[in-house]
Amino acid sequence: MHHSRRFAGLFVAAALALLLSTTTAPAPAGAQTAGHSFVKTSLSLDVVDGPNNDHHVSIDADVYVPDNATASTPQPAIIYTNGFGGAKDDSSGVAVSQFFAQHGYVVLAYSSQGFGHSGGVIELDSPDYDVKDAEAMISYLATLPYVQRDGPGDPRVGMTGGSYGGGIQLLTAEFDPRLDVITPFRTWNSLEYSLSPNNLGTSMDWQNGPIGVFKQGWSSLFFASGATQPLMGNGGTAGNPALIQCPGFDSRLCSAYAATVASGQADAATKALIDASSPASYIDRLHIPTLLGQGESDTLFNLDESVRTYQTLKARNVPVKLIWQAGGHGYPDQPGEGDVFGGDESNPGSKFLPQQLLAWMDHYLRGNTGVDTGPGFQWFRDWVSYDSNGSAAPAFGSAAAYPAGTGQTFLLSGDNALVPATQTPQAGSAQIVNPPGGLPAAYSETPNFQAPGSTLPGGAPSPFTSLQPQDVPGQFAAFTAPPFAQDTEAVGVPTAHLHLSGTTGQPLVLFGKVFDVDAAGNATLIHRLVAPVRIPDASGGAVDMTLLGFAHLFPAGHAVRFELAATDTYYANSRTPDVITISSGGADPASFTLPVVAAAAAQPVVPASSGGGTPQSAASTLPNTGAGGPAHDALMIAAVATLLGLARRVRRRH
Amino acid sequence: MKLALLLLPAAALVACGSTSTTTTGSASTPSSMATAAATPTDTPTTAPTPAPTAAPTPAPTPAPPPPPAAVVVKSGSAGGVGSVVTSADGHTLYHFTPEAHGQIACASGCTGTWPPLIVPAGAKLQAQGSLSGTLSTIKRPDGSMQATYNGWPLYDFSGDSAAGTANGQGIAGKWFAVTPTQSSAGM
Repeated sequence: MHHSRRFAGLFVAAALALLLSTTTAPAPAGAQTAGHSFVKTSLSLDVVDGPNNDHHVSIDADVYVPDNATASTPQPAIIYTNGFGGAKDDSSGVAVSQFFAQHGYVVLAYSSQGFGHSGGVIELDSPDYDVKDAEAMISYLATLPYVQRDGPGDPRVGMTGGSYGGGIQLLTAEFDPRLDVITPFRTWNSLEYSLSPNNLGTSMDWQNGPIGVFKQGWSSLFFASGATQPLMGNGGTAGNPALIQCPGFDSRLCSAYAATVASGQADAATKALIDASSPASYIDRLHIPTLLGQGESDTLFNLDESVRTYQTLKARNVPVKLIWQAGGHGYPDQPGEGDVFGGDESNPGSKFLPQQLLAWMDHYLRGNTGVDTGPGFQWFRDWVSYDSNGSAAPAFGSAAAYPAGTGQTFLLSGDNALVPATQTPQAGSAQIVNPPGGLPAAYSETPNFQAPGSTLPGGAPSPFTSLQPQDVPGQFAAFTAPPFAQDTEAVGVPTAHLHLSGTTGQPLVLFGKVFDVDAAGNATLIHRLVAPVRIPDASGGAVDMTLLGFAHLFPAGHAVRFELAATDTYYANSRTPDVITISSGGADPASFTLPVVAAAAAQPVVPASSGGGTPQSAASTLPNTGAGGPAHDALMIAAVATLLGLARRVRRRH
Repeated sequence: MKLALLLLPAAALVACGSTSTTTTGSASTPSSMATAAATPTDTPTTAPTPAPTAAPTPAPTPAPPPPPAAVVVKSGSAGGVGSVVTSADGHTLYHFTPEAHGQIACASGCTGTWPPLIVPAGAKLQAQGSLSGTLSTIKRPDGSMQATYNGWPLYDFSGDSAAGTANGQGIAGKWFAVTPTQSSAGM
């Protein structure tokens, strides 16, 4: 049913290309292998999109033509589009475009509609709008004589970009067979999962399970950022009455957001809308080489989403590689990583991630199979020190494929312990309370403003950076294992098998967390990650849950702790007061499984220096009893108020 | 007696020898593309009877090598892909996704890197061992006949220098190894 839509707007774009300006850039001084100079031309493309192919939108683009691209020596092309809140020529767009142009690729960078100087409103990478725009860019490239072609109207073309500019790559690959290679970083598999995650079960088939817990912290930032676009002169002005409420957005998205905020839970219409913008919905159509990157501290688009995309592709033998980098939305990368989609844009050629991007393009897009794309799974190890002036490559662990680790299972024992699966657990239970209205709530992080050194819009230092994760007494249960006898490297997605029951018959909402507990009892919430589950029917039967993936070293003498909490500050908690019982022992004992890399002991592990530090996983000195209290609550309320006020002026790329 | 598939690389060379308008200019020079089929056939062996005497045609140009008895396709495995369909010498065979509707899209400039598996006139195309798919041929624009598997025209990759490799997997997002259970190309 998508055949007719596919070629909408194909030829319009080329016909109406409008030359606006041309700039010539010399090859950068000192460029080694990246020796190509290029000419940059700005143009505006009139594209027809929309469900009925009757919506005209002006797309603002830059085309970078390297000196090796001629009609007699046509070159492959790479398309870039911006992250949320960005544009074709934001610092990421310029850095990425120049990098690939200097390596001999024709680059087309464009502003997604609703952003930059493109028209239209934000459509959340919708197949009806944004994907058709990307298809039109592909069609335009096919008209350029200096772009290599695989067939009539079919250029040799890849895409690159992060976040909003990553989701569009997966979706375009699912809808347009002309696209050849993609490199989506820091992006989503299922927008439903991103915004209302439910980590119930282990299948990660999120859209076919019950809707989860509204991630209202990140969602509000998303909409606040989007809504400021028209105020900054970005995007089109559609004259839609809904723009009064949600300037910058398609009115359907505006309504969906408003309804979800009001009820605390996405309804069926919202689910349909965001599932349409989710690569997971069409993943069986994706068969082109895919380089996935995802940030280890990213709580907007977490590692689990990258695992889901990776595994569905890998199962079909699609060439795919997965990189877990440091940082993510709201957190910086580490020296030498070169996350060009996350603000680390200087001297990309010498850094790890741009080198990976280039190798992927050289191998699969240019067809230079002599270029090695490296191991199929690599993860940043924040406990490994390396020369912070060079590439971060030494800090990456690697395996031929995901998963790298094998599960080490612990059994929940009594009301606070984990024991090795070889031992018999003590039967028992822990009880936790969900407070009326879901408040006060535990604190894990402040989305986007948690990282040390982060600033609020306007430049003031973020007041949240020193806030440590906190649990509210009575609202959580913690199960701690005996200390590890040796350094233990955990890489992958932990899981848990649980027996839970409530007292009201209402759905249960819980948050699963994993801590590193040192010899003194100080507990660190690993990367500040929390995994929400919403269990529609908790009548005491067994449920499984998937926690959030991580790469972490438990030094010898440290222990792993699994915790379930009833609340979290930046999620829509259950508002129904309840007492939840977590049972251990018995014939089908509750368990927690940690993915452990067997070869950990063989790897050179040294204490991290400044370069490899882990500012994002700041330690919380949290005893078992938690550390809430009035002062904490007051601070939280102030924090939320401040955030919501200031977020109106946020302009960040996501 | 090694006579079997020597015609194959010759055909490929003819097909790709002229104007290549789409070379990349990169350093990805495909190495010897002729490695595809020069192994001994351990297959039929009824052929080697000395010249079938009845050759009445006035011998075209240079002495044509005797036609191969058979072009063999079999199953094998390749790193990173698993089970694949291979040529007689174990080289991974590929399909080109733009050819999903049964028309040849890899012509002239393309065949230097991706030599088609040609079935010379008079030769048989046959599967060795258990391959459940359907073997057939398709006529190329130059008139030669190319082997197909479940409808997909079959190609060698110049970047595979040995059996058991699939270096061409995913190239350009359009070249993929053919698997024994390869779904059919719509014709």
